[in-house]
Amino acid sequence: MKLNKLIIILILLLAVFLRFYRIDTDPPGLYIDEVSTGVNAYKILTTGQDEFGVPYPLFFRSFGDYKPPVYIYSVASVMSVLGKNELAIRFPSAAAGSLSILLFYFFIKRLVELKSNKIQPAIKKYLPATGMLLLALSSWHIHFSRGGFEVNLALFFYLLGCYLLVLFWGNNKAKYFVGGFILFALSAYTYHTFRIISPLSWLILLTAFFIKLPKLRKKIIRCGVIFIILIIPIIQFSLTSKGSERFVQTSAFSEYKADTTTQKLFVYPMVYVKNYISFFSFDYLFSNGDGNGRHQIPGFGLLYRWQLPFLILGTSWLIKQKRNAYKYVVIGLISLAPLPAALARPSPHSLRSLLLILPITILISLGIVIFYINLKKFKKIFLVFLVIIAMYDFLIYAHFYYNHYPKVNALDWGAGNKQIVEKIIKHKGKYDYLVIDKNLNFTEHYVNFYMDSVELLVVESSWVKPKEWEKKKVLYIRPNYGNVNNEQIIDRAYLPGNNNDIYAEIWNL
Amino acid sequence: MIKKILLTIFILYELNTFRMWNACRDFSDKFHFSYPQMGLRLEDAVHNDIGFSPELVRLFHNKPVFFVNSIFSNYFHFWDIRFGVMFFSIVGYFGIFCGFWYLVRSKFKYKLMMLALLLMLPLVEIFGGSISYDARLILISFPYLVFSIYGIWGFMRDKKGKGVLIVLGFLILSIWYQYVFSGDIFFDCVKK
Repeated sequence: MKLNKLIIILILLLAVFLRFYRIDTDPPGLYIDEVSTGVNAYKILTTGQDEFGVPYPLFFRSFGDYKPPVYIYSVASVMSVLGKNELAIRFPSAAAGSLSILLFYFFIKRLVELKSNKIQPAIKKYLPATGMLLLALSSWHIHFSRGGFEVNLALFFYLLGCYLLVLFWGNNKAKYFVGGFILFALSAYTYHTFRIISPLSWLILLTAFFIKLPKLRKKIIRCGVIFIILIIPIIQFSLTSKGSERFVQTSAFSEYKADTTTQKLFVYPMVYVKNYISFFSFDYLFSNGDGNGRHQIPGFGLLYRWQLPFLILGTSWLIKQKRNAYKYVVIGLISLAPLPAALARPSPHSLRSLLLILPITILISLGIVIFYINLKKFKKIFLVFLVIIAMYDFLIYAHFYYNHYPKVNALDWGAGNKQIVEKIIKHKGKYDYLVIDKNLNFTEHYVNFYMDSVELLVVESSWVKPKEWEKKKVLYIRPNYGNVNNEQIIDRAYLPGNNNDIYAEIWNL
Repeated sequence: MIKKILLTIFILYELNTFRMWNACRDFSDKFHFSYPQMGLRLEDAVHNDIGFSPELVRLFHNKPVFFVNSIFSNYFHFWDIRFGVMFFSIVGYFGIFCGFWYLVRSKFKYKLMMLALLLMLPLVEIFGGSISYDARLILISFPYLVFSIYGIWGFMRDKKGKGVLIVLGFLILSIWYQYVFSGDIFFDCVKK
């Protein structure tokens, strides 16, 4: 028992280390949504209003959509301790990611220990710790824990909700039932996809418990109503044009031409099927991910390749099982995870389908444990062999993450913008106007975040200094359009890393 | 009787999917292993390792690892669900997986050999660039087609009435899907 606790503590420490080590500099910059979160969190902390002057909003206006509030308020509370910096923006995600590892252990443990399960004692013994270790080392989970992604916090709330509901399944105490649904509601206020996943989970579980526990029906209905009351604001908001703005922008159906209702009825269901199945593509899971440089290292899948045989083994073992609780939970989670994500484009999308990581990790862990306990000979050799391969694959991932990724994908993370702000601060007091070229995507927002209330002008690349400014000094910041040796260039901002790539030129006009 | 009729419709439909294969001149590059390309990727990776000891660079970027990763990458494209539902149809792809399921569970004497053969068939495409497309086509598509029929038949026999309904549902879905997305095959192959 003591050894088991020690193993859990060690895995947790490893998870914390992998999620917090150099988190402020790797990934190598704040991407634009992180900046928006940071700006709003800081405004809330200092003025009690968002960047548009709305006091304590329930939904934050952002770039072309409205953000759910929980992550921004979490960052605001962290900023009150750590100050306005990269760490504060990423801290809630990394902390939620680390705690999810521990929670995942208890979730699997309670799930396999449910009385309705007929499961081998060896699986009960090894599965929770194996699952915990695999999630701690998962490149998919590490990656999203290290950026200021709301989805990771939402996943934590959802997992905690699932854990409480499994507890309720075991002991029928109403407090767990209520707690579980409150956390589901909280996850819906944290990330968009959970606006669909949480109500669906609520509906499925409420129906299941209603049928399975006839003595508790009144209690179940009463507790279930709490969830509805809690999500009424989000339902109301989702039905407004503001609330559905994001969906309209990213709708998977918008890129298919279907004018009449008949055409839509014919084409749209297949678009949805196409998107849905894409989340189970081997190429997506094991080879290339979703192709977004911010979501994974190029050339790496979301799972390690050595995990494939165990995923197949775990899945086939689960299919063979009779009606058991964990079978329903795993299949339910796998089916639910891509449901909202398949409505949007691009598809597949590793951020929107992060929930998939939980059932997939359970399946891989099952595969490993079943293979191990069914081995009659060479158990130790198998373990050593597996550890060597897994470690090597993980080291390659870590090497690419800390060494290649910051150089190759620096621009995906808005790298270079902080360096521009440092140059602006360096030249402070030497200019009357600050002008920024529009082609430096969103630089003005970075200036807004790192420096408070700076007046600046964003211009087209064809901009020339107006005549009325002739006697004024202008600090003009523009991308490096080529090798121009001009005396007016007084400084340059470089991308972080040792490639010495010029990101922007600072002109004194 | 219903099972046999449905199986016949399934076979006819699957034969029809050959139209898809026939519309192509060759598979796209992502299915083929290219040694020079692997070398370029390796070189590119090494360039980012300034400041590392040569031993460490070799540990992370070496030909065996890059070779295995490239093969895996090519190989996964064949088992990719998006490729499968276009070239074998949804019901055909489902049939292939059922085929594996029933073959593994069967008491057939040579099942391991057959499994290995089926799993290794895509290697013909990955390495067999010099073989004509038609020959590769027959080598790859035909065995899977037969295997898919075996899987669907096994499923319908195993699940009885429910199995027939599921296969029928998949069949309708396949026809619908391929009608809407027939042009998508050219993401995976070069047009004739």
